[in-house]
Amino acid sequence: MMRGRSGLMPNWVRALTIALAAVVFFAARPASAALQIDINKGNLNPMPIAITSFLGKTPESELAGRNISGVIMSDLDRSGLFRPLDQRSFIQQISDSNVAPRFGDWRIINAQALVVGQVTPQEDGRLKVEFRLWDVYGEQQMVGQLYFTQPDNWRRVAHLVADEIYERLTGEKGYFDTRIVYVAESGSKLKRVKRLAIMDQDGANPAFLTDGSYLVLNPRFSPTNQEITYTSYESGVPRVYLLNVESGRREVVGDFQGMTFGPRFSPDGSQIVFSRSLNGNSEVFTMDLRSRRQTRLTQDPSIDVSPSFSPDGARITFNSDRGGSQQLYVMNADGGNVQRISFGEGRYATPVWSPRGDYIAFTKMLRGSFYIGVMHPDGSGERILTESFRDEGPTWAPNGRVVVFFRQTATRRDGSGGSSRIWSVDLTGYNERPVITPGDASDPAWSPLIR
Amino acid sequence: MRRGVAISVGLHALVAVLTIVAFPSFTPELPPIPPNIPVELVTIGDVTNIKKIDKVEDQPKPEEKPSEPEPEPMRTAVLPPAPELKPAPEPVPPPPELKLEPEPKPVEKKAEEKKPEPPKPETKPTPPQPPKKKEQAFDASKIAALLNKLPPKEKATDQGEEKKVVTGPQQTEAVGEATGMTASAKDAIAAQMQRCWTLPAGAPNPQDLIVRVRFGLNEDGTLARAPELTDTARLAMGDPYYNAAANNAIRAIHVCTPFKLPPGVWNPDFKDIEMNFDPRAALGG
Repeated sequence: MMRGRSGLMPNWVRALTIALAAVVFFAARPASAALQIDINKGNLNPMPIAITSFLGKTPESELAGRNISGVIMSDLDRSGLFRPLDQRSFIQQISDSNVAPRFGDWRIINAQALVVGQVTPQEDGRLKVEFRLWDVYGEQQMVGQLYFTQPDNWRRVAHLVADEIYERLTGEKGYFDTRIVYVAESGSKLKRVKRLAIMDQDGANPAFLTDGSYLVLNPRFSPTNQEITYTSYESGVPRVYLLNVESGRREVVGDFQGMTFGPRFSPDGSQIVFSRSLNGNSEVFTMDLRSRRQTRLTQDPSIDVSPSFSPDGARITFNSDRGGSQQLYVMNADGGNVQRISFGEGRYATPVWSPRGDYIAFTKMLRGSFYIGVMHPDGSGERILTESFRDEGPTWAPNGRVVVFFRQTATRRDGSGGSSRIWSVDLTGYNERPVITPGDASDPAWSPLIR
Repeated sequence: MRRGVAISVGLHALVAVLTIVAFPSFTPELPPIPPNIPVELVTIGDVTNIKKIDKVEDQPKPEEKPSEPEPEPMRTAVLPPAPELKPAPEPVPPPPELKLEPEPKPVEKKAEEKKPEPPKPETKPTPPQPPKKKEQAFDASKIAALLNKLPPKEKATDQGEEKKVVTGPQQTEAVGEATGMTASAKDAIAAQMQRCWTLPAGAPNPQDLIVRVRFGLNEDGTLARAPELTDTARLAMGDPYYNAAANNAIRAIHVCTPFKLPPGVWNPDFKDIEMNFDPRAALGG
């Protein structure tokens, strides 16, 4: 049909078509040929950012302003992506946060971004906190926000501002307005007291959620609200509880026959997935939190443990020794299509799917060392982020950019050492830092954003 | 007749000589073919080719040897040493702590030419530490690999493709194909840009974060034309990662201004530059 028609095409039509095509072809190229320069390398230096003390007209609001910018600085600094500049190097002293700054003064000290703000007490006792983020080179405001808050809540406001700055400059959602729940450990090796504890992601506001008279394990945050599940030996047998951190309301998720391990929420918070051991064989189950109906997902004589949902809820990664050694697997949320994804040397455990979906974090054991690493869900791109005598239990920040885990040191002959601390590391493997906890800590779990 | 004989004899003699001179060896003992040496007439070309200088880490890596068919000294033989191109303000101090390490050093490439650029802080040799704690050198072209923190020996045995990751502290950054020594103004700009541009490391899908920015330079390296995105339509699509990458690229150009241009290289083309920020190679996207 087509051929017939083109055969009928008179010659001049064809010529015209070709000419037209040529015109289109050449017109499609850049109008004027600019000199092309490809940049395919760069640095990983943190961005220098100037954060001024937020202004306040009263002594209280001035103090709050100083505190707030202090928290913003420490948040951004800890992220590893920013380098807050020393305030003593500032040339311009900001006196009004609503006036455009003298950008030249900030360029001299190499600040690439500038944060100014002020705190104003309101008549109802609350504080009004406003801030502006300036692009020093583009000479324009990148973002400006204002918040009202109770004075004792200034820390959260600071985290919210830091989140806003982080998001604007990296394109990634912030993670500073979050909490971390963990197991606080104290006492001697033989009489270890384990309590459920919670803190802000920067280690501030630590609090205990259980009194330590019984053992608690495996706290996990719901990805949708401020609820955690954990396993408790309160009644003598391990039981999975659901605890609302804000209201303190607590309920038993269920009594399970056999041992139940590592419950984790589904992305919508409506289900938990866990492994249950019956007659020495662990299998992966899900349970609907409303109907309490359980579904068995794996059918294999080997040990299947530590399941974790993908953020779209369609798949589950877990850990199994069905191939002869502990390796990572991915399956559909209904248990079908099981595929092994880890093929490196050593053993792999505790896979956790990133909230961003592009990575699975895991613990790897190789030649007597422990590693925290990440790989893509198809098993490609394996990278090791940390290494030590014992690194374990990775958990993701809600933006999928930072991993926290716990690190144990070796116990020496004289009984010293053997401490356990929480550490954080960036997805790139840079910026490994301890998270300060009052005592020993293990098994951290990161909350979603609080708001 | 005599002439014919003379010609005949002459031709035969010629053939005989050719047999000796031109086809000398049908013998089996051919000399071993040396490794491929890229012999090129190196002139100041259009493309910068600065050889990266590696100082090999002092770890025994026997399995590394076969993977390097081109012994480094061969290159040194081909190319004249660098000093006249890059006058060295001060020689890079050899890291003494590396020598103090007890381990043997089977591979020693120190004989190479030294081309010290101003050493960057991250390339400085680290103080003596337990070997496993050793910081990996920063090489912008291998960021994806460097992000992998498995100790080198594990890497080497773990995944063959990662063998090349094992690098020592580097004295210079490589620019271009690292086969010669040339520099062009275009690459001078690119090299400066690489120092100003912060890679969007850790962001998902680096292939989606390629940013094109158009700007112009005056003869003194200042901006003749403010940087602007070529592809503004994408900005409107509201991908926060792309927007951040775009802002970041424009900021990098500002940070780098004024560019330091070698004298006499500026030409009117520089009034219209399109810079293509492509993080894929560095981030392994």
